[in-house]
Parts: sequence; structure tokens; C-alpha cells
Amino acid sequence: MRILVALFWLLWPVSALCADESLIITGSDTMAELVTDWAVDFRDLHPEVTVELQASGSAAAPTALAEGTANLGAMSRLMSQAELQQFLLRRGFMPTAIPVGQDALALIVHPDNPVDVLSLEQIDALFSETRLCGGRALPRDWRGVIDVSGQGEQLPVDFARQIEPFSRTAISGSYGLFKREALCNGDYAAHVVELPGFAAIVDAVSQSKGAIAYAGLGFVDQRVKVVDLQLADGERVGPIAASEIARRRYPLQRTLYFYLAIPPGQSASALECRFLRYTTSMSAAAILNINGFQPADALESQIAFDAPIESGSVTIDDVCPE
Amino acid sequence: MMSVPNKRNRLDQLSTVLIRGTSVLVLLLVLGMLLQMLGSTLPLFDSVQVVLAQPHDNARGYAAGGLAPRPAWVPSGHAPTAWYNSSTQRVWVQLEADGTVAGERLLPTDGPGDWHSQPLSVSRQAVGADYIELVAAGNKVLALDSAGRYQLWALGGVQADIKQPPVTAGYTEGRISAYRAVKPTSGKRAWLLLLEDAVEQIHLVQRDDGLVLEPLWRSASGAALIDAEPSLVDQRVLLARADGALELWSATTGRRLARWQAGTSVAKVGWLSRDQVYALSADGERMTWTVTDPAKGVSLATLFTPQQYQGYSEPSAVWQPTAASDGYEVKMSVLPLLQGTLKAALLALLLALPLAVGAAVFVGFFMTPTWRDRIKPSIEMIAAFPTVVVGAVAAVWLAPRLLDVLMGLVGIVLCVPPGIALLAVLWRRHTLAQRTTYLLGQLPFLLLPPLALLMWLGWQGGFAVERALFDGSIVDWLYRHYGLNAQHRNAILVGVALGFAIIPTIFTVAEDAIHAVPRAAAAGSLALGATQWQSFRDVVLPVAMPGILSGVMLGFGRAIGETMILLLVSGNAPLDSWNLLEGLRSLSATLAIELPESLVGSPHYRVLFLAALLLFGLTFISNTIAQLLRRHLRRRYGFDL
Repeated sequence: MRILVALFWLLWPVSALCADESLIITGSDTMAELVTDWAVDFRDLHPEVTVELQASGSAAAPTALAEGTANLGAMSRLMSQAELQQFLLRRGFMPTAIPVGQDALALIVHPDNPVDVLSLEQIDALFSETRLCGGRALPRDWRGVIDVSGQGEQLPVDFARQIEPFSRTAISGSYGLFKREALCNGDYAAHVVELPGFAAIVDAVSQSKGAIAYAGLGFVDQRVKVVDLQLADGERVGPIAASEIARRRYPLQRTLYFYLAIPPGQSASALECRFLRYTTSMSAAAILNINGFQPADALESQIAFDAPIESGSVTIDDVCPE
Repeated sequence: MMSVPNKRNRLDQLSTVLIRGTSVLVLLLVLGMLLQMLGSTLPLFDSVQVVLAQPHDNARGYAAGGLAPRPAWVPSGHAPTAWYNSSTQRVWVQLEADGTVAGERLLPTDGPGDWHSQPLSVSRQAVGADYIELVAAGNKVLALDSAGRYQLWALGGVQADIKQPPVTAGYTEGRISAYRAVKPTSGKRAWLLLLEDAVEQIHLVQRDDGLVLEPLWRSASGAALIDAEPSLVDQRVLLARADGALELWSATTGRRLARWQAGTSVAKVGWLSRDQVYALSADGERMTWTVTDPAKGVSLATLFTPQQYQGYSEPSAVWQPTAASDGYEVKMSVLPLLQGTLKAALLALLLALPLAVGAAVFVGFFMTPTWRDRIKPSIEMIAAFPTVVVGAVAAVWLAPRLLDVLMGLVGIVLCVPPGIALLAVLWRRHTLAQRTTYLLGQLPFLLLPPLALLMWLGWQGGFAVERALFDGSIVDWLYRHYGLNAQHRNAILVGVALGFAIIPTIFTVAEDAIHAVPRAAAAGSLALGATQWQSFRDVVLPVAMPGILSGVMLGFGRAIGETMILLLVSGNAPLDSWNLLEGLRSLSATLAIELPESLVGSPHYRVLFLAALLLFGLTFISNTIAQLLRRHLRRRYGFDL
């Protein structure tokens, strides 16, 4: 990924000169495959437009948008107050967020691992230093984890492996979501291994038997096993659970956004609008589905109530008047 | 006829000027880079400046106080209320006037946007709570009362009642009994208590017996306290005293950052933005100050000593600089990064040094020129591998296998050197020895079969020992008996990959140093009857030693600065442990991961430049030692490498 990023920085001035029109999208690694597929499909419809993608993590988007080096910032979370402040200082107005999809983070383990469901407190104890969800400390060994799937007797998991937790690097939006929802805003333990992308994480989990990690649902394949989550009220929920309600109550999901820098009183550029309009088309929705995401309007869009500055989540019609 | 020398002279002068110019330019560039790094770092250590702002200077930014708006599903009222909102559940609880806690839990239903309700209620116990908060993902209720007592209730499961009795209850500490108000600080896992003449912050900590509240820090006492307000985006606290003084405190270090006079009596203080604070005077006038504080709580103490952070059970050296959410207490201790860097570099050196120096000795002294010309370039070819390739191979191919073959590798490391020594002794006793020593220099491949045999013996022996002594798995055995954890991305893996990458650096310099020793010296000692080894040890080695050490230092410097391998195989886990079976996070990989995404001018950005300075310092020191050794060599023996 780093090399791609470096190549991008080397090449984009060149390619920007060559193409007729070029749309630069920077940000989330979670959305990288989705946006790449969209870009390929979009180019079939509009061959005169080059879409360039730099995907390293959501935190890259605010900087790129503020500096004007990107048209769209792909983010798997809303901008933080610090990022909004910085953007405001730099540009003098607030950025605009447009929800484009819904993603879930799946908890994954090695297929040999007998665990099927873990409680929120156990997840917290496996990944965090602070255990603010209230769970007891767990030894770093699967035999110390109590199997919560059984109805009566609760036995330790029968799996003689050391626990190896994996996480994304801190620039990822998923890192923040997992921290907020699964660690109750606590801190990751220092021994959690950080890898730069979900593909690397799924790969690492498939190769080490004691591993546990979270990964975007679009990256999960048959080499790993998805583990369900048991909520505090005993309900078993999961990203690929059979019932709709069990999927909806799954806490590890978030909205994916495109951020734009639109000065007040203006609308998005024609090129940006063309791409944004494309994302609402049928073929774009099909690509969204293939990549393991839901349409943005399937779930009520989550608005961060503890955000004093509202960046305002709007629809495409608001920024692209006919 | 005169024109040719003149032209040559001019060309000479021109090239001299050019060469000097370029070297000065390079020096200036290095100096410029250093200055740039210093310029980005030094503001961290500036003292905090507070300037009275113009009245209209605060039009944008936070609403005063910055409190979250009450969502529509929480009933309005004056009673202390807390709420928690997520896609899983919405919970609100309220302290009723009659001494009960009422509340409601909303759970999503099948229809979009629909929530069904579960009422919650509980009669309060003896503690008359004044303040209420939902913690642990909305599943626990924390109540604080005016005597400093607290209770923590668990919200029940299916029956949805608040469980009785409280999970934990107790006093935070006797001395804080005189507080008048509780304010949540950012992150909602610590609360500020306003005392008579100071503030104290308490935080939730998970101990072995459950969640407890503990005191975190306490400001110095002074004139009577009027008001205090924690910043909602970082860990600073603003407080106003009765004598008109305003103070800014860092909650992480518990130190005062600034103190200034409002000039009038203050009734209330607050934050307008990250860099602006306001005070309301008793007659309603508002004053605004701009606070210039590039460090925002970062200091030498937080960088280089363990700190007591919110939610941590003990002072720790932690590197967690970003959270992608607001109000997070940034933890930027460079200690784990320094430790990781040194751990990786030392281990790489340990693995590369014997191989590279041994190869240098053999190639530089014992080999015939023909073989030297073949072997030397092929070892130097290793340097042609891009480090990203080395890292990728190590991450994809070696990482899943290393822990399984660990004992085999240890066996090889332990078996080969003594095995070679033993073989050498046996060989010397053999009558063929006199003739074949020369032969070995000419046909080094003759040495390979015994080496391969030794490696095979070590490999098999290692596994045999593992089966016999460690129940078939050294990793599990270490974990069971000593609690040593093992990860697939570990320091040994880093050492192997990094050691491989620095072998050519050490080898080239060391080999050049050995080869540069005049042949005549060695030939002289050989003629006087010394063996090849004796003449190498007593004549060549002392002369070449500084050169070899210089190569070692260069290799060390390279290992410290190497980025790509560490990024891919180290696991980037900022541990402060020397356990070789666990991962590490190096300064260089941290810079590669975080620098592109840090906000320019933020404390994180400046600390990263400090990390870059540290990295520069480490490589500068090792390279300077290497240069000094070379100079020593040149002065003493009159030749250069």
C-alpha cells in the first residue's frame, strides 16, 4: 500500500497533466476496493475522466481536502472536532459529508478456533488495556476464555493457542469505531499488532491459529471465521446473522462518507457531481453490494450526538442542484 | 601554444569551484533539514502564551460550554440526566426528585428508524446522588453524591431493571468530600470535582475486583475556586479563582501550564475552541483570550517518563497518539518506540555481525583473488534487494513459519560455530592438513558439505531437544512456565530480516579494510614461519580492526534507520518489553505510518518530528563513530579504505 501511495505521489502530477479531467479521491482503506470498482465502472461511462485513488486511511482525507489535493475525501467515519477545526482554519468553511454506504466490521478468528460467539466484555478484555466495558482480565490464552455460547454450564474454550489480537493502524476509521464500540472508548493494549490494511489482517489471521481481529465485511473470505457478538442483554448479534434484527443490533457498523470542500453558497463541481450521481445508480449499488456493503439509506444514518460542531450530513441533491 | 594550459587551468578551477560548491550545498541541505526538524519540534517546549482577544474574535467554533445537544428521545427537564446512543441501544437515565433513578432503554426493531422501549427504574439506596452518568457502553450507571461517595450499578439484562445492589460502591477519598460540582471531562471516563480551593479529577479504573473510581490528579490549592471547565477536545482544565486569577492546568501531568489575571471578578469560565477561552465577569461581560499552546499538555515528562493516564491502573509509557475521536487523552511516550528501535537494531546486529565479519575475514584474507572476485560481488548483491522485498518475503513467507521452526534455527546457531571449531581442530591433526589449507582458499566450496552437515545436525538436534525437553513446542512451554507471550510478528523475525539487509553493508566495509592491509606485512610473517591464522590474527587484524568496527557501526546505523522491513514485519506494537517473541514498534515505522496523516502544527506532528530528530541523532552517532574509526585507521596506518 505504501508503495502505491508513493507511486501515486510521484505520478499524479504527470497524469493530471495528461488526462482531460481528473477526479482525485483520497482516504479510507476500507472503501479502497469499492471506490476502485466504482472508478473502473465510471470510466466505462465517461472515458474522458480519470479517477485517481489514494487509500491509506480515513485520517488522510481531511488533510488532503484542506490542502486541496483531493476532490473527494473517502471516510469511514465522520471527521473529528480537531479535523473540522483544522479544516475550518485552513479553508474558512465546513466540509460537507455525503453518506454513500454502510459497512460492518466483522470479528474474525482462524477457522480451527472453536469459538462462535464472544461477549462484548470478552472482546474488550482481549483487545484493550483499560477494559472499560467492565470485563475481567483474560489470560492471553484461548483456554482462559469462557465459552458463552452454551446455555447452561459455561466451560473454557477448548483451544490450546495463545491469543494474538490484530488491529488496523490508528489512522484508520475502523480503529476508531472498534475503539468506541468494542473497547468502550478505552485504549488498545500495547501488544495488539497493527497492520496497515484489512487484506493484510485477513491474511495474518488465516495464517496464525490463535489470532483474532476485526475486518471490514467486504474483506472477509472463507479463510477466516466470523464470530458473533453477545450483547449485555444476552442477545446474539452478528454482521452475517440470519435475522435482520440481529444484523441491525450489531454495534460494529458505521456509515461511509464522501467528504467535499464546497465553499458556502456554491455547489460541487460538475465533475464531482457526475461521480456522486453515479454512486446512486443501479450499477454502483450492485458494486456496493458485491463489496460487502449496504446502501446508505438501509439504516438510519448515525449522527454523532456528542459533536458540538455539526459538519452536516447532506444528500447529493443538496450539493448538486439540477 | 599557451592557450591549452590556460584552458586546462580554467577547467581545473571551474571543477574545483563546482565540487566545493556542491559539497557546501550538501552541508547546507543537511543543516536546513536539521533546522526544519528543530523548528517543528521546539515549539513543544515553548511556554504557554495567553493574549486578550478582540471581542469579535470568537464568532466561529464551539457553542459556549460545548455540551452535546439533548437528543429528541431523551425527555427534557432539570433533573440530572445522562444518555448513551449507539446503533445497538439508546439508554437514558434521570435522577428524580423523590430519590429514584428512572430511565428507559430503547432497542431497535425491524422497521427502519423504529425503537421499542424498555422502562428502567430503581429506588436509590442511602446515597443521595447529585450526578449521574452512563458508562461501559450504556450498561452501567455511575452516581456521585455531594459527600464524594459513588455507586456503580449494572443495568440488567432481559429484565431491564437496574440490578441491586450496586456492583461497587465506596468513597473516592476522604479529602475530596467538600466538592460542589462534578463535570465530565472528555471521553466520559473521568470527572472533574470542583473543591473549595482546588480541582480534583477522578477516573474509572478496571481493577481485579471490577470497575472502581480513583483520584487521578489534584491541582494546587490557592484562593477560593469560582469555576472550572475541562476542555472537551484535550486534557486541559481552565479554572477561575476568587482573586481574579485564571489558571490553565494539564490533566495528564497535573502541572500548571499558565496563570494570568482577568482583571475583574469572574463568575464563569469556558472554552470557545481548542485555542480560545472565555470568562464571564460577575456583571455579565465576556472576555476572550487566545491561548497559544503548541504542546497541549505534551512535555519532556510525558515524552520520556511513564505517566498515570485515565483508565490505566498504573503509570505507563504508552504510545497511542490518535484515536480518530475527540477528547481522547493522547499518549505520546517515545520510550516504547526507542526501545523497539534499539531492540530491532541490536538483534539484527547480533545476527548479521558474525556472518558478515566472518565472511569478510575469509573473503578478504584467505580466499584467492579469483574466488574473491566472484564471491564479493555476489554478497554485495544482497544490497540490491529492495528492503520492501525482503520485508514482504519475511512477512508473507517467514512470519507464519518462524515460531514452528524456532528451535531448529536455534539449533543451527548453537551447533554450527562449535562444530566448525571442532572440525578445524580434527582437520589440523590430519596429515592432509598441510596441503589442503591452501586448497581450501582456492576452492571454498569444499567447505560447504561439512557446513551443510552441521546445519542439518543443528536443525534436527533443535527439534529433538524441543520434543524431549519442551513438550514439543518451545513457544507453549515458555508461555506455560514463564508467562512469556509469543506472536507471529516478533522481534526475532525482525532481526532475521533486518540482519539479512545489513549484511552487505558490514561485509563490504570490513572486507575492504582487511583487504587493504598491505600483503607484504602478512607475507613477511608467513615467511618467518607463522601460520596463515597467526599472521591474520597478529598482523592483519589489528590494522583492519577500526575498519571492521566502522563497518559494524555503519550497519547498525542502517538498521536503526531502516523503515520498510520494520513496517511490514514488526507488528508495529508499541510494547515496552524486551521479550524477543513479541512485536515492536520502531521510530522509523511510526514516522512512515503517522506523519502523512498528522495535522500540520498539531502536538502529534511535532512529537513525530521529535521522533525524527531522535532517529537522526541515533544514526548520526553511529555513523560518526564509524567515520572517527576510519580516520583513526587513516592516521595510524596511512591508508584509506
